[in-house]
Amino acid sequence: MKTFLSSNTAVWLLLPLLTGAGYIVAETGLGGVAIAAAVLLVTLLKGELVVHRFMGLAQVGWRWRAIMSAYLLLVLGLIGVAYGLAL
Amino acid sequence: MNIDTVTLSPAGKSPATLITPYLQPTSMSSTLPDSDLPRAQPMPGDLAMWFFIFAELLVFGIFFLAYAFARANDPALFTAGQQTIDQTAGAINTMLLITSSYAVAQAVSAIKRDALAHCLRWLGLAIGLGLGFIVLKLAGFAAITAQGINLSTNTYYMFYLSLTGFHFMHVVMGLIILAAVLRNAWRGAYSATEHTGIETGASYWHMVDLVWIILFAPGLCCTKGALL
Repeated sequence: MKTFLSSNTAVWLLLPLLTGAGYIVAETGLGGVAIAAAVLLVTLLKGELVVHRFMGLAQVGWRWRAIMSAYLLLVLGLIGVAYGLAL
Repeated sequence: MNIDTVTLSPAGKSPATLITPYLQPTSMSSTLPDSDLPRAQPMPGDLAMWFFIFAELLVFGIFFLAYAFARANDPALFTAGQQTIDQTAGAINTMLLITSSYAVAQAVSAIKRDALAHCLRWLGLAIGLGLGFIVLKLAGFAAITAQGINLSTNTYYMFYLSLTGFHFMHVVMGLIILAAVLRNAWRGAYSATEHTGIETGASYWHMVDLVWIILFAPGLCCTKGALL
């Protein structure tokens, strides 16, 4: 079970679920800070899954992973700030 | 390994013979103490590709932020524009790229087991899914331009067409790279011990997927309608 959860297949099953969740939220027409934050957090999680599992950075030195995580946090965080400015 | 291991070793074995197993990367996990594990591995693929990927991510990041802050200046225009975009196509495209990225990861995993046939099949699937993305995106571009919309229509469409067009070109480039990787794999260039080339191509393709995942998010932050 532990092996499956850390496998590419488990990540592949999880990513469409997260995408589908975001799609459903958007289809409902909901907006607001909470929805935006949730969508950005889901996007951050999806990005981290791709970086760690598909790109294979889970096994490399933490500095490389930190670069990618910092990138995701910075870009998605600033997108959130920009969204907040528009409210 | 400590010196006692050598001095207490069976007679007739040289120290070099005893040390050799410790120098084999594949045997490290079974010979080192648990406290030394896991050892960090080098970046997958060619390091030069990673510098290229970081440069690409920087460009896309600036593009994303320019879009987000431009939207902050005129949210009504951007929301109206987003509502004209087919969100279902965007979701399908996300599934196609995610699955394609998974297929490439599986191809890399297969070649590390010397399972060439599996590797070729996964690469073929990845390319097929990437081509599906291309077809769907071209149909989307055609539908938009058929309405007389272009880069000059307004700020939203300027960002939408340039961002998605820029990403589209990366998908095309990624498919060319994957095709070259498939050809090399077919010719037996990769194996369990030599897979730098396929990892290099895979890393680029995953970057294309990662960028799309971020690209899909900003539109979802608004009321109905996605960026893509």
